[in-house]
Amino acid sequence: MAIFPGLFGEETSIFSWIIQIVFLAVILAYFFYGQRIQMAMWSRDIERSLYKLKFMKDKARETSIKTVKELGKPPVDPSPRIDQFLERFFIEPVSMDPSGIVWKFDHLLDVRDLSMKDEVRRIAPEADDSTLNNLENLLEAAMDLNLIYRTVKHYYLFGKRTKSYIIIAQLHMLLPIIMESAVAYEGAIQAFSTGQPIGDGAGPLLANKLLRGKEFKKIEKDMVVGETEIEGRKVYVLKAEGPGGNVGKPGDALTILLNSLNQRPSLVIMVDAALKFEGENTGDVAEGIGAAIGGVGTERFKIEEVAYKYKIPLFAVVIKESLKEAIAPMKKEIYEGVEKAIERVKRIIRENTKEGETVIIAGIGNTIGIAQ
Amino acid sequence: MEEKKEARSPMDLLLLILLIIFVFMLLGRSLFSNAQMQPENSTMMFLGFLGILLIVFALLRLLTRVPTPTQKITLTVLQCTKCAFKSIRNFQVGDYIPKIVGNCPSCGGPFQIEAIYVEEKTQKRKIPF
Repeated sequence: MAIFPGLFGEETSIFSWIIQIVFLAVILAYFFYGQRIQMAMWSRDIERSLYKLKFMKDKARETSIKTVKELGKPPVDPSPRIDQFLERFFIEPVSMDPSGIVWKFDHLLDVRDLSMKDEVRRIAPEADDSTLNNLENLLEAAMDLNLIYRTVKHYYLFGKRTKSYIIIAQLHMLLPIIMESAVAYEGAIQAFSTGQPIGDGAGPLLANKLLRGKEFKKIEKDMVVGETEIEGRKVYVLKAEGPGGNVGKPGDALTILLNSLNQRPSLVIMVDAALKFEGENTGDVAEGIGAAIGGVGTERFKIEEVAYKYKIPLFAVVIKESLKEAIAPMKKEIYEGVEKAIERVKRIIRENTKEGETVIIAGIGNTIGIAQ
Repeated sequence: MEEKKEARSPMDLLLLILLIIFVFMLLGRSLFSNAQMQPENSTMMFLGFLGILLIVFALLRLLTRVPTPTQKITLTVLQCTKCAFKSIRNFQVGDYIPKIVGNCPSCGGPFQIEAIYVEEKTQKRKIPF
């Protein structure tokens, strides 16, 4: 039984002919224009995502303007200044000669942070320090969403203009990851506009719980230290100054603290939120060795340097969460993870130090919604 | 934006019904035609089976459960620093840990914000491996 009998000279009807011609036309079209058809399909997907990204970044801009007007009480419309803020950029130091790059990076980050704070203060003159930090975080999240939208739009239009199959294909393949980051920043907008603790605040929350009812003092720009006792050991607890959105400079704070102590601490324990692998449970706790701190690496470098200088063992306790959960409002599972992490920290102290010795605990992360 | 998917449009359903009718017409003509060995019958049968495959795939897509958006609620947990009496309410702007928000209704001690977190209402799918 031939599938296309008409092709082999057998008797056939007009219906059969039409079907055969259409079938062959489809095969030929796919043969010559397959790549273009595929590109058109990918382009349609990218366009759909671009509409979503545009919606997200516009909503973030509107939320920023509304929050600045509510909390900052600016005398004039802040929209043009906010639009300029959203286009800000940061140029990383050149890495051709990597020697000394950490300090260059650190300097540029300080300048960036200061200039951003000044700009936010000008946009929202009535905001107090804590609100100012929240507004800065909010505008930074809106800025990141704006950057994601502009980058995707750039590569999409560039790929279409140059008819580059490869650019469109790469963009399409990266799209799920890009969209996940964008959704995460969208969650962050909500948290920063209302001042809610975020997933990354797990470290500062642990520090807060250990310092409840205890004295604390400012040790470094945006960092505080408090003293407590755990099972006969003297414990210094470091965290960023809250409740405004702030990560502080834990590297500098730890250096100052270690230089000022008369007794060499037996242990430094860093507690931070860490990215979990797919399939792992949010709020699970794990421990390891090293400096548990994210960011570009300048603070980690300083912590490793000072720990090496004083030959202090560096332990890390992490609370697992996804990137999306880290910058979105804190989930119940993460809060419960902090409770588990406290027990883990106590066990590490018990097993690795003796009574009367000194320990430093650093709660790393953004302290929005979490005071001292 | 949590777990949202586009809803199935009535147009999709209409197109599927039209496809089913067309496929059954093709198969019916090819199977119950008087002249069983006519060459166009075999073409129709081939296309009919391709159509059935298409319908199966379309039905599978159509029957895929549209996930319901996750319901999230931000809660503030208040706890008395003296008697540990606990109370939970919705988050209010200005709340932070460990803000004192009045006196404990049980013992009159300081009522402190113990936790602020988001609770999700939907059940998570358990990964079997």
